[in-house]
Amino acid sequence: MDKQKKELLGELEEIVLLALLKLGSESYGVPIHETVEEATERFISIGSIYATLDRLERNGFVSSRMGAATNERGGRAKKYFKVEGAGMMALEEAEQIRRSIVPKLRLQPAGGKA
Amino acid sequence: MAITLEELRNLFPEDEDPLSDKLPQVKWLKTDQEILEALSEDDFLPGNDSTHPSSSGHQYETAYNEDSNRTEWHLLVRLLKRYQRMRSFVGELESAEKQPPKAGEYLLYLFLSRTEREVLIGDLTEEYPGLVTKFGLRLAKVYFYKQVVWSIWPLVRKTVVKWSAFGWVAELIRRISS
Repeated sequence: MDKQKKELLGELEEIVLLALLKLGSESYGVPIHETVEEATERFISIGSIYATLDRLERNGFVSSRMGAATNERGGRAKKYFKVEGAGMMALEEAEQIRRSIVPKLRLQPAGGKA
Repeated sequence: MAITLEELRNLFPEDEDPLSDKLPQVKWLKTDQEILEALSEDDFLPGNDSTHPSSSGHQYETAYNEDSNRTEWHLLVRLLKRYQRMRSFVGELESAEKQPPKAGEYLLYLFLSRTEREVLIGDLTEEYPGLVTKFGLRLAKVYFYKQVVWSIWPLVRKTVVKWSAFGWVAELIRRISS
């Protein structure tokens, strides 16, 4: 096993990375927020999303660029995000860790038939 | 009595003169805006004869002389003024639907860095009209403020952690060097 200490993804970090992969070139605040809220069915503030994206960017998992200002945003610019190679590797690693613990996870509802 | 914005819009449509079909005797008026610009409310207070519209020499003098019914004139001006106020009120409501509350924006200005708040306010502004359509103005405002309050802490915490780490390193250097 690799002894090097690796940065493991947190729950929200993983979900945000997956949302970026799903959205592709349209990955900016509003659609990311909507995708994460829809997937988790929980209230998550846009600030939390940006704090997570900032953390991911500092770790080299994502990169960002500023877009053009638009009228519908009151003349403010969008900030687009993109998953980098390190981010993809981190996602794959998270998946491997899950599979190494439980190769085929099949959950049965409580009291259900096996 | 509560009234919805949709009902107000129907009552005070933007491109329709509400009096044209209801008061045929005033069809010589061009638009409510024109007459309101030419007249002031004080000109038509009952019993104030010195303020006959002809005294100001405006373009409606002939029309006024043709129609000598002063009561109808008073009624018309009051109706037009009321209509103008209501239409302006509807306009304010419509713009309120599109713009998030300024107080929330100010909170973000207080606590966040320039780049963070610009992007965050932009996102909230973009989301806001959709929320108004979905939940109504009041609930959209509640959701907006919830977003603002819950957005400030994660971003402020990030800065606090960064600066406290700097402080810790500075303290370590000071102890080593002393």
